Amino acid sequence: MVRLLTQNLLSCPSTHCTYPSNFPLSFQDVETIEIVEAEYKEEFLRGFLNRLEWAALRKSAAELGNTDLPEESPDLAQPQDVSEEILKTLHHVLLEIQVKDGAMVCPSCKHVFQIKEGIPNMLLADHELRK
Amino acid sequence: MKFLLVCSQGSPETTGNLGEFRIPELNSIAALFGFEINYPDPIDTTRPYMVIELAGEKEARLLGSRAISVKHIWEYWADARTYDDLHTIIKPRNDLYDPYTGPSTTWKFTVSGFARNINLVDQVAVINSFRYLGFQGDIKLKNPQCEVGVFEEYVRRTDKEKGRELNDMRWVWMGRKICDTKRNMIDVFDLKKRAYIGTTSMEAEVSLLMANQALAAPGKLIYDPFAGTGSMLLTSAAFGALTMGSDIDGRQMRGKKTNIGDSAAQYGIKDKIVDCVVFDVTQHPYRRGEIFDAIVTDPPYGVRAGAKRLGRKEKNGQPYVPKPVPGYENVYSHELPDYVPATLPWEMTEVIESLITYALFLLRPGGRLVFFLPTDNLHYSDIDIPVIPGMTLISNSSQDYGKWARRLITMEKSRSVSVEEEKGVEGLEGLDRGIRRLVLGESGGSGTSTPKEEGEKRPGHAGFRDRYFAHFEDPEAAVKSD
Repeated sequence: MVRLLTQNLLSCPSTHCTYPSNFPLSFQDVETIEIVEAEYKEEFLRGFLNRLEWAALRKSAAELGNTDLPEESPDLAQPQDVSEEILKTLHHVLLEIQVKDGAMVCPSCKHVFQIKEGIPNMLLADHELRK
Repeated sequence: MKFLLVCSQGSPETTGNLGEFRIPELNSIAALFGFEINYPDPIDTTRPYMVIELAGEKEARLLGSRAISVKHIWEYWADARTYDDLHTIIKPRNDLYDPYTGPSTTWKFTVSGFARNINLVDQVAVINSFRYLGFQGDIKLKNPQCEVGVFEEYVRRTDKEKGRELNDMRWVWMGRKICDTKRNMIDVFDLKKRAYIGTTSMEAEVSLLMANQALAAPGKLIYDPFAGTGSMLLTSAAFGALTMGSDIDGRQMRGKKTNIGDSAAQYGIKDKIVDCVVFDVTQHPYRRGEIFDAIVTDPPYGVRAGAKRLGRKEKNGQPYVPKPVPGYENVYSHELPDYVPATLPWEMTEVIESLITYALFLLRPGGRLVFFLPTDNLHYSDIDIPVIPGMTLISNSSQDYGKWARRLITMEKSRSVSVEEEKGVEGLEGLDRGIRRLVLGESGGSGTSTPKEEGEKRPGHAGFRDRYFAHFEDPEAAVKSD
């Protein structure tokens, strides 16, 4: 995996970092991307809009070679008005692009989180732990 | 309208008695679909037949579309102490049976027993005694339009009584079949048939009950912070939710020859397992709260899998300073790809308190936290469940193993609590990144619980690991008097 739905929710957990400067994590050294078709889930997508960071998603998708999302986001506070076309694009970007091997890097402290076989390692070193 | 539920009284694959799980499950399904359920009779989950009240057949079918602890659902006709009483009630109730006795309605009549096998001769005798119902249509054994059921309830015989002719029927029940349930999912999700399992995988029946407690459904995002082999992710996904898992140890999520993805593919839900991520939940990377509709988990009790968190015992109260790898000036061990950070044991009371507090942060208002709490039966009492403002206790069901039990706790986040409002409230400080906790150096970090004040009660899950390996012996009894 590592789908953009997940990556859009992740920031650097290090004690040296704070939101929003630790978000989004940048993709780096991506070796394998898989496009895996998934069943379109309109209800889920409409419900998820209020948790989405549009600009970050667009930026991260571009890092993976996808530029389908428009620059201007729809009104995420009115999910029922978002067009089906946008939702279908979101479905593809959020759920059908999977990073298998590579890394995500914190824009602030540069901590490298490795992704191996679709599972990212977000464990911290001792000096990065929040007490 | 009254309905008769024929409930499970245990299955061979599931350990321990699940009687306490029945009512919470029914209530959860009712909450999920937004209908009311009432229990007109005193509740006794040692008995398999139970009457409930629902608005109508539609609600009964909704119940059946999710129920695991119920085998099938019937329109309630009558119940009585003896067959004579049953006939007295049923005979004049043409309103119940006339609609189905016409010549074009296919029908079937079943006689079955609990704690007793009814032999064919006796079954036929019962069916003949109901001849007055006057069925004119054809008998159809598979999917008739009307199936009438009579259930004889007995008390389980002791070994001495087996084989004796006893006229000891306890009660008899009658109804018309509405629907089956989802109980067959237990077989589909049987661990013995699953592509990828581990020693900590949750048994199928219980993981399905947990998904119902969590109100898993399409449109929802559900999280397990101790995902392990993904059992909870799979059943919540089976009910339509999208799921996410994390674990401080990636080995169980990754698997060797097979992994969670293979199990998910087996059940046709591969696209519903969104991601698995390796991290310590107390050092979680989520950028905001109120992400998940539910959190469903079985935290490690320290028996087969030790609860641990990132950290290292401080030397002389000095924080850890990274040093370069010997011989290499600018390379630090924590930057190398195979670096495994130091971890410390994490005591059960802290695990539970942290879990509930993180749930408060990560759950959407109205969202549920469903988790198992292991307890030493000798020391357990209801006050052991931490009370965290903003989280309401919904249910507490014990799966008993004799000296110990695990309790399935369901909590719901109040709809009126929002993270923004809670800023400045003591106890939730720093919740976006961590929970205020004891300095690692002081707590001892040896796996034993923090010493309590004299007279303060230790909860039943305190130091659970040590209690488990001491076979739950009463420590007082073991103390020698000098």
